[in-house]
Amino acid sequence: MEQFIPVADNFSYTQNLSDASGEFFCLVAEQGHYGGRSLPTNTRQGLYACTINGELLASINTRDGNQVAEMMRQALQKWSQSVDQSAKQSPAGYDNRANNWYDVYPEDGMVLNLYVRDLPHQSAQVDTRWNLDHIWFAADEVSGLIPGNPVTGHSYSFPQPLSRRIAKLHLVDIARGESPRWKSDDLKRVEMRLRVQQVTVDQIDLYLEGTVRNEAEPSHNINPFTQQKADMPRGVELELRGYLNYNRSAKKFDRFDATASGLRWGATTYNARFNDLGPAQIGFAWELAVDSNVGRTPPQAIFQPTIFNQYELRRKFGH
Amino acid sequence: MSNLARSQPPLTSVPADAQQFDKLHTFIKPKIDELRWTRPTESGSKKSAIVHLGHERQSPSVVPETTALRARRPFFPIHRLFS
Repeated sequence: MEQFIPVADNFSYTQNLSDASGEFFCLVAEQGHYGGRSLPTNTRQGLYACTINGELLASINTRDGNQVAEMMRQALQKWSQSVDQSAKQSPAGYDNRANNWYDVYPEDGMVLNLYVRDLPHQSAQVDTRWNLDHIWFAADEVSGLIPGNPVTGHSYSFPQPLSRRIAKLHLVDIARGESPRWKSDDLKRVEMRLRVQQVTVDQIDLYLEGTVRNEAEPSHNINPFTQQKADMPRGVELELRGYLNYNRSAKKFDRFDATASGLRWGATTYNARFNDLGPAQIGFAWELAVDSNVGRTPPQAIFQPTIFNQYELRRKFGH
Repeated sequence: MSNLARSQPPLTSVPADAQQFDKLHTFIKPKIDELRWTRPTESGSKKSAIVHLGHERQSPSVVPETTALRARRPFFPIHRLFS
């Protein structure tokens, strides 16, 4: 491992980029195990060992550690036999400032980390897998959470566009793998409220409470890899609670801790639930993200064109 | 927290108060051992490099104080959907 530089990347995002990073990934991937394939999907998922010039050394798509180790050994062997020394030099002109979706990061807004994992069953050992996503708020969406005249005990609705966005795009069972976001018609009940807990000169403390119920019918598609059903009827029924502290002078939240917990059921193609259809307990947790390379990873839902447009339009035109 | 410890049922799905909220919130968030990339060395011992996921953690000395403050705040129970 010491002889490799590990890089983790979301290929489904990168392979569709038209900038240098997208071109580089495609250059490598088209030499690999799924190169040239368009059916049953155009996925290029997998593990690749390559030079910085984009020469493929070896690749595989597996979660078997032994197979990965063997792939890496083959890569090292090819590397040691390489006669093209230019592959060991950095290519010129790599554009790391290319325009992409990272540019729509809400610089003046707010970003939350979202974590999700199964909660303990009473009779079974809980699966420890977990996943994360990010929730973005534009600057005006942050200020829109604060009442103009905050009075202790006052309860008011969480802005509906935000509550529906969270329910639709972020309260999705991705604990074990990717899953499509909800459609608008899947949102059966979305209620979120904020209650003013305490008001001081410097700070407003808010309590978040709410319920979300989403349900979706199956697509009735057949998975081309397994010839089995691609998905099953699915849903979530969650209660939300949270503690929020708004810094009035800085005009930003110092705390945004929340949970959404309750039941999930069903399965989608890649969320690995076909052996655990439920209903079973699931939990989501939010907290403020720090500004870092990882923290700037866009929400998974930004890959959906309509969602990208939503974020992009907000950035450009403020609505 | 070990996998065995995590297998115990310490939580209900809906936190009943601020302390339970903290417990559930902490449970869902990744633990420090889940943020490490661990690899065996030649001697068999383990060496880890922490992969920062970009969130800050409270120091242990801070947690009890803030938990106590939250516990004194009025709590507004909401209708329980799941029994």
